[in-house]
Amino acid sequence: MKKAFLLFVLFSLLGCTLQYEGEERLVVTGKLIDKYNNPIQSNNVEVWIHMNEQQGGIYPSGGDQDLISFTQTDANGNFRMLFPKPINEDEIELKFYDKDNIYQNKSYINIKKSNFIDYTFTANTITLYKKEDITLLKVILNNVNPANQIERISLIGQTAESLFWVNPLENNENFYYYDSYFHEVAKNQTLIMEYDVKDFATQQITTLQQTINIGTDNETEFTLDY
Amino acid sequence: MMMKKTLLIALLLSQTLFSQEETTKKDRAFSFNHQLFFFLNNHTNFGDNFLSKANEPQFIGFGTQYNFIKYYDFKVGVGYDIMKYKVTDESLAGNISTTNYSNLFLKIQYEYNLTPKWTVEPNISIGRPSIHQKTGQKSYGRFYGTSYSLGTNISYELMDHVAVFGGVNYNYSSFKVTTAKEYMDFFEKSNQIQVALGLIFSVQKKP
Repeated sequence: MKKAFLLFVLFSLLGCTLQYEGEERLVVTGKLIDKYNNPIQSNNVEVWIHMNEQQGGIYPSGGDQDLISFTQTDANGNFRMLFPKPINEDEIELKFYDKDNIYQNKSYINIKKSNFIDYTFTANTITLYKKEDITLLKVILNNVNPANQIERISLIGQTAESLFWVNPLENNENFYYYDSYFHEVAKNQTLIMEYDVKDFATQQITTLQQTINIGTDNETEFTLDY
Repeated sequence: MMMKKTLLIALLLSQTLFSQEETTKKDRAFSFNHQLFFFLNNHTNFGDNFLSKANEPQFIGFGTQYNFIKYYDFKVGVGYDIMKYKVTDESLAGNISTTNYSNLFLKIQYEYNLTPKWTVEPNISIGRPSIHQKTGQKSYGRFYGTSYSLGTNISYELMDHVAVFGGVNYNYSSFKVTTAKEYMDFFEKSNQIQVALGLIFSVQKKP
């Protein structure tokens, strides 16, 4: 009985906070460049470990998060961070922010330990745009055929999203596009929007493309009839 | 007849004396020699490794040692020392406040008396060091290894049973850590010069 109680207390405590394995070290590397391929120096880079709130179950917890490592990019835009391997995390986040507020903030989210090869997650080369070079693209989704539904939208061009999903959401099955679609993109470019339309009458999915000209405004609106 | 008796007594005496000498030699060869060391220490790390590049030791650490066996002039003891480090490079060590280095060791010392008061004790030791990273009470895990140390102490007897000593030794540790191949060497080893200053309390008087 005593042992069972002690085990319960131990598991409860383990369930509440993030735990780490000191004998194993993870590495995160990458490089930051601007839209002209110049390295971005002295940009802040952080690694966060997240444990989501656990509802119900035997060991409910309020969640936990740690800023486990941070650094700044070097003269070549490179960064590298090492830290103990988390044990009970839900996701790892790689975050970039500019203390001078010139470049955009960006996060690589939902990184899993399975994304680490030889204990290393390589973010490769990441482009950050200056805040003044970003516009918010607002696409109005105008449903002209009630049998149609948009199932996927992607942009081909200089996108400037602040969140990049390394792994998709686990429960992404019921995701639909309704009235509008927002995305941060670079100013002064021609974008191609690719989208899938499902015709519920025929159950056919058609992939279509639309060209969008982006100007210098801070917000760009475009209406898509489908 | 008288000559025979004298010879017999002489032989018996010599045998007795010889036996006594053997016993005395045996006693001197192996004995329980209780000594307790308390010392403050300082680490200087060098090389391209975790302790040297990502941490900075606090000025003072603490250690203790217990010697219990003496064989001729060799003494055997066990000890434990601890040093707290401050993390100085969060990109290499993680965003963690402190790195605690501790070492449980077995030491062999050779006692060489320079004068009745001054003694030099070259020593070697093998140990099990541990690295434990913490922020406040929160633990970020431990890793362990094997340490090999070579050094010497010099001590001065202040009074019967009490001596003051200073020591210096080179300590190499090999840790068990798994990470990306290019950083294995960085975590796996440490090189230190350890300087100690402390007191020795002995049960036996110095001969």
